[in-house]
Amino acid sequence: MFLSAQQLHMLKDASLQTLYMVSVTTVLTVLVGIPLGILLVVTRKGHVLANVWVNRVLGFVVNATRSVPFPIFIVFVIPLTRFVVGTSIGPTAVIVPLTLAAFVFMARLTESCLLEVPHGVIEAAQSMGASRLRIVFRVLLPEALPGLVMAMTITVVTLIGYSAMAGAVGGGGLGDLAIRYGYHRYQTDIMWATVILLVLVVQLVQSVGDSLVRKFSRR
Amino acid sequence: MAFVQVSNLTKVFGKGKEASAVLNGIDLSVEKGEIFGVVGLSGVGKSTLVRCLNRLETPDSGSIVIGGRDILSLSEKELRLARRDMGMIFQSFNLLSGRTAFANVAFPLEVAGMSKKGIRTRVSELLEMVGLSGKAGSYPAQLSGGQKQRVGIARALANDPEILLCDEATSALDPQTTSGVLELLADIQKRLGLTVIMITHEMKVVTETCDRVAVMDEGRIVEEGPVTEVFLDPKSPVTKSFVEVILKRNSRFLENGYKPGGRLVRLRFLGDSVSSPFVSDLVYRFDVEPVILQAHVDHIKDTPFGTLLMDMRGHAENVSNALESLRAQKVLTEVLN
Repeated sequence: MFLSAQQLHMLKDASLQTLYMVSVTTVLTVLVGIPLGILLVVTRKGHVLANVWVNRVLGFVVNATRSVPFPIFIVFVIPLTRFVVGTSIGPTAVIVPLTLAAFVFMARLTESCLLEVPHGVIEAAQSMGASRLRIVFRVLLPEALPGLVMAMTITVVTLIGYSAMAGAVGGGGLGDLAIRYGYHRYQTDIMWATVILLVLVVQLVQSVGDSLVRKFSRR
Repeated sequence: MAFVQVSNLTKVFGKGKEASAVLNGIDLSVEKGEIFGVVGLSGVGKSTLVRCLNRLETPDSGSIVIGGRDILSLSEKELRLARRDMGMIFQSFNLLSGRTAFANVAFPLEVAGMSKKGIRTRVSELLEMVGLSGKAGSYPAQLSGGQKQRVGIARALANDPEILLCDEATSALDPQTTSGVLELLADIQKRLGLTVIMITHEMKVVTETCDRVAVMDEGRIVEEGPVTEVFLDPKSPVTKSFVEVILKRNSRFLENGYKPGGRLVRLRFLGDSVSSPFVSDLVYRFDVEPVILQAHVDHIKDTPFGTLLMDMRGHAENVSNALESLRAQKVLTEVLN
């Protein structure tokens, strides 16, 4: 495979754009998605902050958001993107739909991690007189930590995939490069280069995630 | 008033057609410093009962007073404080898997707002008390079942509770480990003067450790009293079936068509009469020939007891005199033919 200097330059730019979109989105997703996931769990019936209506509304919003295919979602939230970023085009603009789509995904993953924590452990904490907040932050979250790290890994990998669709609004990135040059212009070498890069990045993310899970896991 | 006073407690699970009463008007009183057993088959409501005591479960009606505190009228904040005076241990131990034994025992102390230094001293004391000083840094996954329950006990006792609730605390353990954990509980109870309520489906747990026992069936208490009395003279069918498990009372001799040559008699005796030579009395004083078919001598907590199934052969009058004399020695006699 022989890439020209120009092609290498495009690859470098695209890699940086992907890195930018995915890392900012990951931070936002974790900041919003995990708290939302916690709410989805603790407002369940019989849980520490049981509230059927809050739970139903949150569940509905999450499901609705997840139902929309991502390319449509990008277009659908354009008014919001313009309001937040000032423009609906470019890598920064893509962060808005990317975050919105990813944090509900993260919320559901968080929810399932927290539900894995045996109810008996929560009851034990209750029987010791622990407050609701202490149960969430000192029991639920620490006990679910390995699962949460795994969920974050899955989210990051999914985000790398989603960011490929960012090209639709000029977001750039590796996926966009592969589609525009590799697919539409038959530049097979570019396609191969991006695919190999993406595979390497995903492998790296997954193995970092896995080693963190091993580090935190005590079961 | 007793230390724990439960009156007319009811709880229904489910609604409408599927509703089933789990607690059907429970009255219970437990004195300070005693080990009180609640025994019953699974699904009769005994776990629900003990979980109502610290309001992990909210009963539908009735009252619970523990140490002068009306548990059901406490506000949420008052309940949290009250719970610190009630330790609880569980069948599945319910330890935090991400914390070491040390940090698990430290948890309730953190809840109570103890200083880091205070926690260190107290946790070391507690781990030593349950014989796990060497395991402070181990995670639950590295401990055996018995060790996990010992951590559970240390954790439950961390804030010096007045009462310890045990919900099937030994049911997940093998017999040897069960005995070890029960010995530890009995020892700690004696030293600290704890009040212990022990839920179990194993009669062995009751006879080894409890002072008094209540037998539950279908959401009601069907029999209650000192373990020795309930055990030696069970009244209800449920209690009888529990006692039979321990005594293996259903003698094979009868099932296999043994033909008694005289009166077939079952004797039950307790305490000092265990050491009285009444069998030889039968021979020398009453000229009765006893054929012993089954015998069992054991302890209920610290009280020795025994049962004996014998075929008393001899002159009818001699046999009835002998039985008369046994009854006078406070041996329970039951003629089976």
